[in-house]
Amino acid sequence: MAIVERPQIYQGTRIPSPIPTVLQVPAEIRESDDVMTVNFGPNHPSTHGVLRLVVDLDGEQVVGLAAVIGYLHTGFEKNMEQKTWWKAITYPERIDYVSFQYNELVFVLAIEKLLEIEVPPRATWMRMLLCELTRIHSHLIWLGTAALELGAISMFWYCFRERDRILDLFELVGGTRMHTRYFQAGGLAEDVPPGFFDECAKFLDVMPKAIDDYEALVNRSEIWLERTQGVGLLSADDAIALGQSGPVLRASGVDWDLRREQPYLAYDRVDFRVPVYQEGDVYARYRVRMEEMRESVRIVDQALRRMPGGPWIADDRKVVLPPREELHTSMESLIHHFKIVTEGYRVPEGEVYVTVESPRGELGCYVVSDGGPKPWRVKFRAPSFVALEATATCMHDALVADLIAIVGSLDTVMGEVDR
Amino acid sequence: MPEAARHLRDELGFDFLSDIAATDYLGWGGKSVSGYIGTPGGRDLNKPGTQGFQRLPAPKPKRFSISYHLLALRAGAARARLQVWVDDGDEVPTVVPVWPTADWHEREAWDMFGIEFSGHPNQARILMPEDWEGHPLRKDYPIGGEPVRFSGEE
Amino acid sequence: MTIEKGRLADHGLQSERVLWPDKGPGVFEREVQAMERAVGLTTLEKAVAWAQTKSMWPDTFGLACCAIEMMSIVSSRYDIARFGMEAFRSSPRQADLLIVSGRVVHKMAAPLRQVYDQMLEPKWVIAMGACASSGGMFNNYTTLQGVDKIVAVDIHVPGCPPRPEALMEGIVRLHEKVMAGVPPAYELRGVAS
Repeated sequence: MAIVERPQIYQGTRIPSPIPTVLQVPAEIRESDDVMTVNFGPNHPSTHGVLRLVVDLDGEQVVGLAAVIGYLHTGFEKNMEQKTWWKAITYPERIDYVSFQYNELVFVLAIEKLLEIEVPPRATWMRMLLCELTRIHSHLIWLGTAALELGAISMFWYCFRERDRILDLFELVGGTRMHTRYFQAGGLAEDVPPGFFDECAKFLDVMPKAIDDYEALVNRSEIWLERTQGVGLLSADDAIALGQSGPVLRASGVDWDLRREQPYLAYDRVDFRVPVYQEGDVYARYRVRMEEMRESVRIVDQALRRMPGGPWIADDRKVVLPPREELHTSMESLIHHFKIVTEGYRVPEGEVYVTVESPRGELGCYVVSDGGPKPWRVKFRAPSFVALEATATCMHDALVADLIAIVGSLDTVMGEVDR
Repeated sequence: MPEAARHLRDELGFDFLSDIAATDYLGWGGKSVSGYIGTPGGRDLNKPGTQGFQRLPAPKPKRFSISYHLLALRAGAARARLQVWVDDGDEVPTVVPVWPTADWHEREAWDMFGIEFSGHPNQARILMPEDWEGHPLRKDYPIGGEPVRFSGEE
Repeated sequence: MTIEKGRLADHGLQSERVLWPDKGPGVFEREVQAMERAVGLTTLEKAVAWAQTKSMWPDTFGLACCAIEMMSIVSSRYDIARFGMEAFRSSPRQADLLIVSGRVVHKMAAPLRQVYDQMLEPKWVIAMGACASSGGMFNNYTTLQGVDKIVAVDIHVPGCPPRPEALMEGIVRLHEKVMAGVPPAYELRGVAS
């Protein structure tokens, strides 16, 4: 098939053509025979999962790059087609296993949109609270591992200290540290246990000081600044052309946040800032994520103070299990329970595409339903998949050490990339 | 189709391609489904022999649909879905010159469904191993795996 | 109702090993003692086994969600440095223990076997989590139904993902196996079929 011409969309694009995702060795260097192909294999010391980079090096300079993915392709989408809607909610969490509740959220929002079911406010606010805690959790893991790769090893231990506190909160509310499976179509699986809000408030007292600690560690460190400033430049136009979203897009100067532009859950009722930086380098992405952590703490604080009472799941008995006391007295409740548990609830026919702002960017879920108890097609738009497409563009004049910094700053989670 | 894509990007301002989702509709409408009671397509329990399940989902024009989910990065977050319908073996012109991010999305659609994108610079397997045969997410591809053995049985 | 902080031991929670002290050692401890008597290590072999367990360095083989929990046992709360294992070696030539944490797919099976082959003997394998032990919830065309199809596994740790304490329980049991004299899995059995 013919090779298309260079995608000349915007002025000054640095997309290495004609294949946008591959950095190709320039002809003059290839002729000089000085190029060495190195394989950063799927198992490597840096901690972002099974990504394979085939890198062409001219000395220390990266002149060619191709990313090979698929080492974690688990067939989520095909597996979810075999399960009923309720059972299928368990799967998405493992896709982006670092910000796990966002995947659940987007799938459950898609189901609720097709069902046209109304979620009670307590569930909405609680979902928002948990999702913002998940954002902090995801950024902490990113910061710990990215700093570890760049050599700031202490950061790992500091970040994981707070991360364990967040996981304690998840365990309190959902029963398990990761992959809580707490969201249900229609609300939450169970009511919030007593004591959670106090523990959450205690955590919020600690967190801002902890973020100050992290910044004190690296913000003025000469090595950190040298290694992250001016490295991995991605212009705003290229970022939009390559489909970037989330912190990568905001660090390139584009003021775009789905929580503000297309509010879901209760984001239009809380007050938060969206950090935007213009430089488009690794340091800007780092600053964006640090400030996002602070804003998430503010959102959780507001959600805690304004948490409404009331039911935690919708009342539609065709979709939601009836409370167990009713099963002894009401025949219809028993029938509903039986139908929902055995056959599963049926979601009306239709297709829907729902997006949320996950810590990595725009996480989308495209659901096609044929009116039956099982999904017909579920596709997840993973922001890390798209972020890896921009690797070649960021790597324009990078050294090997910058390669690590850049791939770390794109915050990819390979479970999401490969699904 | 590339003209439609360019029109959407340039005139209507959808400069952000969110996702390319391919769907296989083989077997669509094979099972009749129930509507909700009280809705226009709801169950009619008085219709004999059907137990209320007489509604079939609306038939689809061809076997595969490719949905391009677009977003306009403006206030109001306008979203659009461009759907292209193809049969098995048909080719779809690539939109990589229009939205470069489509590169890997189209590779994934080829890998998972076998839909060819003509003019794609690098159409190769992306998620499955290079020497894999078959296109896994098609409806006639088995789920695979092993039968589960329980410890009680002999 | 508020939850009062305090050490778990203050609330009366003790580890499994010292529960019901009047009942004597548990089933596992008795089995380990039986193995020790059956295998009958010499003093030199006991010393070697002790040294192997006290600094068994894992290899960085984190694949998916279990890798995040594996990273959290390195963190300061579930400190794995007290077992001498905080040095995660990236090179398989320098590692003793391969903790396969996460789902293994067919594309990754070849690199996994390559890494396992590059490790020097004696080497142990822990299959962490449901996906590594048996394929987990992913019974499909692409996931390996258990990593013991390609490598010989010593310890399977259940969970999705297993808590850091569960993984440490697995590691401690591996240490006890080694101290008891049980040979590594590749000498005992081949791979599953």
